[in-house]
Amino acid sequence: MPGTLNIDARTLAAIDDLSLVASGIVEGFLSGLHRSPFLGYSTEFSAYRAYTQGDNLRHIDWKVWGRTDELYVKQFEDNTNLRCQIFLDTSASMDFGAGDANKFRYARVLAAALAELMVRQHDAPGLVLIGEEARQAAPAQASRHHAEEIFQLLVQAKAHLGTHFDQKLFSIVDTLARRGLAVIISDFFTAEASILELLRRLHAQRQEVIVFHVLSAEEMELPYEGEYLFEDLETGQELPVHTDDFRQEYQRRLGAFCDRTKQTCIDLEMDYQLLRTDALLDVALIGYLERRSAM
Amino acid sequence: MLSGLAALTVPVIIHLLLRRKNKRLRFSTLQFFVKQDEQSSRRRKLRNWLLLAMRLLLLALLVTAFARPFLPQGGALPGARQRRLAIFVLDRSASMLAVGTDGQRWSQAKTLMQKVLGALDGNDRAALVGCSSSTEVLSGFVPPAVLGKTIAELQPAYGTSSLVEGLQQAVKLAAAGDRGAATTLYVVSDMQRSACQNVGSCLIPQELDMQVLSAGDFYSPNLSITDLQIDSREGAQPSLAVSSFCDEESEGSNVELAIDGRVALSVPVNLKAGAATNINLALPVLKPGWHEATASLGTKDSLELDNTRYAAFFVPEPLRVLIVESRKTGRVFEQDSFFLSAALGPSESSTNSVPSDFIVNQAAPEDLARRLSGSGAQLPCDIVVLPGLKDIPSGAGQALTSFVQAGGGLLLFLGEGVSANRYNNEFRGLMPAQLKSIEVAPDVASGWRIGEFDTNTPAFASFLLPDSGDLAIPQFYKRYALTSAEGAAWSAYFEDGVPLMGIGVVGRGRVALVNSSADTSWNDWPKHKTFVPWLHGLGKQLARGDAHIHAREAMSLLAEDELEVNLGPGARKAQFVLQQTGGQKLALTADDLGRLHAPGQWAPGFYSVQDRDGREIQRLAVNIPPRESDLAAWRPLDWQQQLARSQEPLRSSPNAMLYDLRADRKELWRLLLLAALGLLFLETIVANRSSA
Repeated sequence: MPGTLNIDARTLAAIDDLSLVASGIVEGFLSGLHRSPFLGYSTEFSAYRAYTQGDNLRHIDWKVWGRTDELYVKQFEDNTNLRCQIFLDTSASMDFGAGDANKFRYARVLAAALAELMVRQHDAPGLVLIGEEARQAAPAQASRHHAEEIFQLLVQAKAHLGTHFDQKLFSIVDTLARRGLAVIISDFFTAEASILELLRRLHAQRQEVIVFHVLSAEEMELPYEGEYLFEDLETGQELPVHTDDFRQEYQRRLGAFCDRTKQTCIDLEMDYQLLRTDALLDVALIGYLERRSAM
Repeated sequence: MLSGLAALTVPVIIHLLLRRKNKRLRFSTLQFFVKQDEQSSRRRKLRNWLLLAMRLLLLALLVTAFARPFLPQGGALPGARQRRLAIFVLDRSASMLAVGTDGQRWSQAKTLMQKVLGALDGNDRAALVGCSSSTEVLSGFVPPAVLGKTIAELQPAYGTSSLVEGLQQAVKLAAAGDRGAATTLYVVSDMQRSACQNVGSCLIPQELDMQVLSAGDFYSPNLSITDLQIDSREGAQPSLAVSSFCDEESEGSNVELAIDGRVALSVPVNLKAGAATNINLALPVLKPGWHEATASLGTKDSLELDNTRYAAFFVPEPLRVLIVESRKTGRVFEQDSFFLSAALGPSESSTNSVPSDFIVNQAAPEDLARRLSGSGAQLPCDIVVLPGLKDIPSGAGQALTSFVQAGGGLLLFLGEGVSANRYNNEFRGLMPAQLKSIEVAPDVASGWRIGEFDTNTPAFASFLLPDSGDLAIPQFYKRYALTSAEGAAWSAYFEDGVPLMGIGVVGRGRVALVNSSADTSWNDWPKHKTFVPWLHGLGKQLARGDAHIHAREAMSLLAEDELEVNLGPGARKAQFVLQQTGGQKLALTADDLGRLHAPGQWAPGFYSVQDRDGREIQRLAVNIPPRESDLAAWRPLDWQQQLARSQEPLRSSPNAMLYDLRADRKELWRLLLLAALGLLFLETIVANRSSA
């Protein structure tokens, strides 16, 4: 990852205006891309193309020039429009992590940044909220106004209740008629069989899938010392745990779970990214762009 | 104190109060925590219970230790009389056989000990340490009745004793005994000063009570024969020594010397107070073999044991000397060998000679070869003496060579008429030097004198004794110039370094060459007192070599000495018998070097060492140590004041380290504290151990 890409999502996430946050993130990301050795990579974007002599000057995106001092030519929306569904996990387990490292805050900012980037790419972002009951919060549409709507939905979304990758969700997946991109942002703390079912259905619907497996640093390291009474955020179940005694085994089990999820994605030719909430967002965004460019 | 056990509730209350409710933590999911932690939780609970139990036990041990519980000692009921331990340190030296106003000291001692034992009861214990030439524990702690029987059968020894060693042994016994008992050391002795030396070197712990049971009188006059010498060494005067250990003059005593039971000498002895005297002895002529000399003092005194002294001695077979005399004359004084024959012949009353060790015969030169031939395995004589022959018959040289090689001794003198060439030819291989030419002393009036001589050789050994004569007196006027043979050993030189006498080994025999005449033609030595002892020593050396120094020497032992008889490698592992005259037999086996060993503790008298066939190999005499004759004693109080008392307690046994041993009980607080300490250590390990 280029060191010049320095987007601190946690800092930006402190701002409630997700649109502003997302804009800032994306602009920062893109400007970083401009200065990075991956510049050549960015010229292959379907949405932007470097200006070459003879291009219509009306197609130059002057805003990008103002920020980057480089001339880019916009392609017509019609040629590059892609339906991108963002599946956001809104279960109670996502509401874990202290302050800026809260998984749901992180996931929401990520979803917003992706939506912003998609709009700028003239793609059509949509939003599906997964929770106790899945629903298509916003269908995929390519407009600035639609992006604002997604941002609003994200702000209003709350992490609560359980995680159900159930028939309702699968039905939503089944409605994805056109080939598109599906981005799943979740901690996947649910039955593994249902995870597999979701991914298979997406694959069956000819969706290119990017899986962002979001976990907090506390979940991964279990930094607590002593004996605690753990309470499950979703089920309310209580269990006394002596963290010093159990840490090593817990990390082994969690790692095995992540590995299985990743392998499932690999088997279905899907991109898998494990994201810690204390990590930078650019990893996720580059992942989107890579996938997008391959389509 | 035990109410402190209520403190046990404290850790329980602390545990209950501080038992925190677990902190509540809302976590995203519990799907990774199920089952495994239940097992871990059970283990932790078990460990916590164990820690609580250990801490409660630790507190209980501490509280109980402060309460000072105890066990009654030695099975005795609380309130019973304290047990008593008596340790007797008994003097078993020869002086204990002295008789005083209250009878024999030994009997007195036994009576005193029995009286002490009689005052003990069945629960008490007594031990006995015996002091004689060695100090030993004769009995450990046993019931008084048992020790009484042991004492009744006990006999004294005849050696010396050291009460200090006995006390040291007794202190060790007391340290190992029952520390809860009252221990008393009883010193049973006649308090003879020689047995009570260095008493300050023994530290007696203050907690040990000590009593002196004195047997015998403070003043015991005594006369004794302290020495009897019947020496076989040349020139030594047999003598005996009588000593007085009285405060008054002794008169009217008589000393008798008996040889083999027959009185040979009886002389009166008068001694001033504390004086000693030597009495020279003239021995009768004795046959070859072992003899016993017994010196007796006819007096009534405190210790009769030292009024008799024994000595055993051996009279060897006389040596057969063949002197070659070339002069056929009836006047013996005209013979060349006159002085030799006179010196070697028997002498009855000479003050500087002992009963003769030689039998002298003469032979003419022409008969020499014949006299030396034949006789089978045994040599015809032990020594051949040639007093400077003018003519050496044919065959004589060969005969002498064969004789010497077979083990005989040859003594060659020189003189007028001796042909150097003839001697060099005939006695080639025998003489230690080649004769060259006659030398005459420059100063005929004084002549040459004897310079250096080797006192390690038997020929000159007797001149180590005082008043044995001055070898520098004889004068020599003529001598031969000599060329010493390679490897020749010279044992005497003239003062100018010219060899006077040398002895060489030829085959199994020896040859001595004297660079002077056997008569007074070349020297005046035969006229001086040193001639005879020198000639006798030389004769024995020629006949027996150096072995005669060690052969059949009289053995005299003190009653406490260990017996060691060296019989030579030929006696390796052989069986022998040691028997006291009229007494018991003791079987002995020689070691790998042919030595016999037997421990001390002999009764005075004569002993014989015999081989399996009953042949007597050695006779020896045993006497009591002379220092036992001095019966001067300490007053018990004065002696006790010299004892060093120590403030240190008796050395603690491991038992005493664990228990606080008191008179009637065994306190347990130390043991409880030790257990608490161990538990504390264990608790630390368990508490800090993290489970897997």
